[in-house]
Amino acid sequence: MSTISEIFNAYININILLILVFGFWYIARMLLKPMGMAHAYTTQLRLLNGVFLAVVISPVFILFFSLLSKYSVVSPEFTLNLSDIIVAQYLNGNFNMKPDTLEEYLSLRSQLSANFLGMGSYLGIFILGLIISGAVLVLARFALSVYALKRIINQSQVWRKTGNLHLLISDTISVPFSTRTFRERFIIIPSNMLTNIKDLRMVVSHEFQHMRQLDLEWEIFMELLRPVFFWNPIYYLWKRQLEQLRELSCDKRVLARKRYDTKEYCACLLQVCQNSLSKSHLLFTAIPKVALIKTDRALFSRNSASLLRQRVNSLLDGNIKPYPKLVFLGIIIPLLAIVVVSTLAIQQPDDWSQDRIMLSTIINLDRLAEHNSMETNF
Amino acid sequence: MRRKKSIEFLTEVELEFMILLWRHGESTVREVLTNMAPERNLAYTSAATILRILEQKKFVESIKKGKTYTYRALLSKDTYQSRSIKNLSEKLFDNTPASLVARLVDDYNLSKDDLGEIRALLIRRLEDVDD
Repeated sequence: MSTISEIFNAYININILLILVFGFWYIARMLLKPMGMAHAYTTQLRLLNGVFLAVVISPVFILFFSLLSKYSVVSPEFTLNLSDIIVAQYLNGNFNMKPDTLEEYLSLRSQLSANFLGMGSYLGIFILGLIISGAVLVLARFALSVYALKRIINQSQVWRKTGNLHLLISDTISVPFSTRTFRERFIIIPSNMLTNIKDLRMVVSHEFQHMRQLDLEWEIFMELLRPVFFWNPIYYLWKRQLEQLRELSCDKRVLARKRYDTKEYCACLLQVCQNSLSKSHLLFTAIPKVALIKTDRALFSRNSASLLRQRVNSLLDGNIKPYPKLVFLGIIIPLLAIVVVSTLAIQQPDDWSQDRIMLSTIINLDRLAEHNSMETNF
Repeated sequence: MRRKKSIEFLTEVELEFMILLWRHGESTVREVLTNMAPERNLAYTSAATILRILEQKKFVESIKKGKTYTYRALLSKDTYQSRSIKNLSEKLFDNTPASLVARLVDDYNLSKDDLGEIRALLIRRLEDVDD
């Protein structure tokens, strides 16, 4: 039971952390504007990836911190736990509240977890059922998408092959994209693009840039985490932000590297978009692939259009920002520190600290006093 | 390693290439490009790729003559016409070729000569069936 409880707590913590850190990321992104880095998309992309990775590996920070406490590298009294800090502040008289109300608030989460894990309520069973069936559905959708992707690859014709990189031509797709397996990488291009050598070159350069940026690996990583975060809206906002930055960064770097004509590059994006509108789409949304343009027609179709507009505007403004490593380090280090502190702050306290015993004593004394006064009145 | 489903139909560009091969017979990449409309402005590498893809799909075969490859259609125009009509009839005319012909006769502005030719064809076909 304690293992299940630990897993459940870790699951809740990681979801809370994702929400918290996305908020911090948003503030950091706003601060980048006055620093003249509003269009430094590569830096922003790496920051976002770094912070997301930190959120996912946050259980390691907890383990590391508990090891430091165990071997007395940090004092056992030193705590970053939010509820411990609140209790300490309360006992120091920094804010006023009825002690039993404070205790109620502080134990709210452990109470909910206990009810939930003990299946004390039908609601608990219902929510657990929803989470499990949702995760299974998301996994099934992922498996179907991978199957669809495999079919496209199998039906494509080989154009070039270098090492583990396959350049394929497909009659069934309308938007070029790249994907990978454990060993092999693929760039798949619609056959109608073969007749326009300029567009073809730009498309291949774009997909190569995605590979250089490790966008395929990030996309697969994000898709693999979807069953964990499927109910969390922040995950989708995070993924959308990642997709935007990935494309904006890729466009800028392709133009910086290859010196293509900006207008021709934009025309190529619009042409691919136009071609995609005339073809039917398969169930593509969960496919671990990185496409030249996003062409969702369903829920986020307006976002796809706005992303395309943003990309064209960003390309036409011609402002190609370098990727300053020092600036990157100057921002990522405080952001990672915030992730670590937040991770430790939202943990449930392990045991009874002196402060908590003190709070409990105050509550008991209060109750005793109340009881005595009732008896006196009686 | 990769098992491919055999591909039966040509894309628009592939059909353009096949029509040239059917019309001019065996051709090199350069010859295909020469036979194309001048405004097409297709790069040599693109044409070579399209022909190679046609070869992978087994619509053409290549024969090495010296340093250059010559491409020859493996699929005849008649076979492809039949396949396309059959597909059209199945998919769009509920597998009733008579509706397909009716649509053709009604909407295609056929001349008197064309209609006469069709009538002669039908009479000949009916005689073959009676025999």
